[in-house]
Amino acid sequence: MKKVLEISLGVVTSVGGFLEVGSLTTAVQAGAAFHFQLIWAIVLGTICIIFLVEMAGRFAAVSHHTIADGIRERFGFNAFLWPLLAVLLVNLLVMSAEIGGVAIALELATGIGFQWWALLVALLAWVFLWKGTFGFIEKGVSILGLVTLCFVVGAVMLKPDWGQVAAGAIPTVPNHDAANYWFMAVSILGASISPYLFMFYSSGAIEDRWDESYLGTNRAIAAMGMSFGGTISVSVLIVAALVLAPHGIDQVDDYHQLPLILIPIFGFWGFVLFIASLGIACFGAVLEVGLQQAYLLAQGFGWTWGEDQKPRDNPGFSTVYTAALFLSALPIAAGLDPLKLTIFSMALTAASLPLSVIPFLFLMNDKRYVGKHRNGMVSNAAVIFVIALGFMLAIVAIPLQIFGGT
Amino acid sequence: MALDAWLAGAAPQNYTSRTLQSIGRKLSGAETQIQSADSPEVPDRAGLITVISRLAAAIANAEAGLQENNPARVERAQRDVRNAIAALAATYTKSFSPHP
Repeated sequence: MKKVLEISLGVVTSVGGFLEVGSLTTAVQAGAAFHFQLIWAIVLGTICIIFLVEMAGRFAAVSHHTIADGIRERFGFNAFLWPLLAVLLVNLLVMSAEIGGVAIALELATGIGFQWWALLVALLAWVFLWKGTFGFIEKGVSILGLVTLCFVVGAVMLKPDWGQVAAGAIPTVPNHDAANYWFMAVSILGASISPYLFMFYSSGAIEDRWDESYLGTNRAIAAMGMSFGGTISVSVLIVAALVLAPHGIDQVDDYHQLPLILIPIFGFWGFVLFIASLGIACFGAVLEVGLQQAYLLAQGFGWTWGEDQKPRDNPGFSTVYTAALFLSALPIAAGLDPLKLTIFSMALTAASLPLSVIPFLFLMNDKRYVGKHRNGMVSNAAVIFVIALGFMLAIVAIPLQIFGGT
Repeated sequence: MALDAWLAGAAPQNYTSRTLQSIGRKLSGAETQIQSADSPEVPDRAGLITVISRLAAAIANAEAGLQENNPARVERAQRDVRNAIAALAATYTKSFSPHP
């Protein structure tokens, strides 16, 4: 019974914590511009993150190491430095985008410009991290994030042609705007497979003191939580395709357009639900990425770490999340467009994935860490395939998008 | 869509107003860009600038209606916005469609 409760809570937190500014905006843009044609990118990204999250939990439960810890120990500090720098940089951009997401939600709610909210959001997140426990951050905010299920309700209420939705799960070549199509595909993959997601999960498993008895729980949480989370992203895409395109909106390049996707379905409540979804989902992500930055550096340098300890007992850990939060708030406070930053940081995430995922795959195949629980052929192949695809698409699509081309 | 939502009472005034301001800024940027470009790729540049100005004026009018909380003025401006968008689409197609 205890395990069933744990699985349910784990699934609920995964679902509530899945949607964030990256998955939301990339799905809205993809739906508006390419109807259901990019559903495949969400499906591929979700499959990949299911494998990665399951591996992260399995690695932590069996080896009692976090991923960062394992990479540093197995490959040495010099080799660890490159993935560390790449993930730190990408996380900083992602955190900036998430702070931008909360700031946009606050602008939509109050009419006061988003840049005025950035530092306040960072301060509020800092108070949560300083005062909160891991359980509170992991479960409390994620459970509030269940408000994002309104997109699933909205998608069902719009009665889409489910045959067309299913057809969107099969990759096809675009018949217009090819550069934008592939760039969107890369951004969706980056939003779905953010390294902070699975690295945070492995740190969480250590914080929650998982052991081998949690392997089944881990598998269930990874598969169900991430699948339901992916379903929310697909629902956002469906809603955007069915609401925006008929009004002639095929480009979403202004964040003011975002709330319009729920208004025709729920009226004024659609506006409220959108703001709540964006604000809560992004705030949850700010907390998770902030913690992940601190985990990463503390584990990499061998400092004491843990969100359940008092800040004075792990000064390095708390200094990192403090600095990361305020650094990330600066670009938004300076007026950088959160939507543009989001899309760019998601594409960059996809390009940087090999740096963090490849060393992790080595660990998952190392008997010294995971013993008989090593990866099988299927999980190795699935992850390598998606990461390679995301990387190659990013290498081609990012320059095309920046310098123009079709 | 934002004006529809405001007229239906489904979107607050400050959100709708900010959306219109943002569109206004984009139109102004597009107008400046077209004016400054001297490539032969825009054959009917003057026509294009005229319809963009018409659209910008209709958006400004809608925003003024919003500030006055005057649905009738907003509705009239909304019709002008729709007409200007149709004219813009036609001019754009004429200017940028491949010539045989």
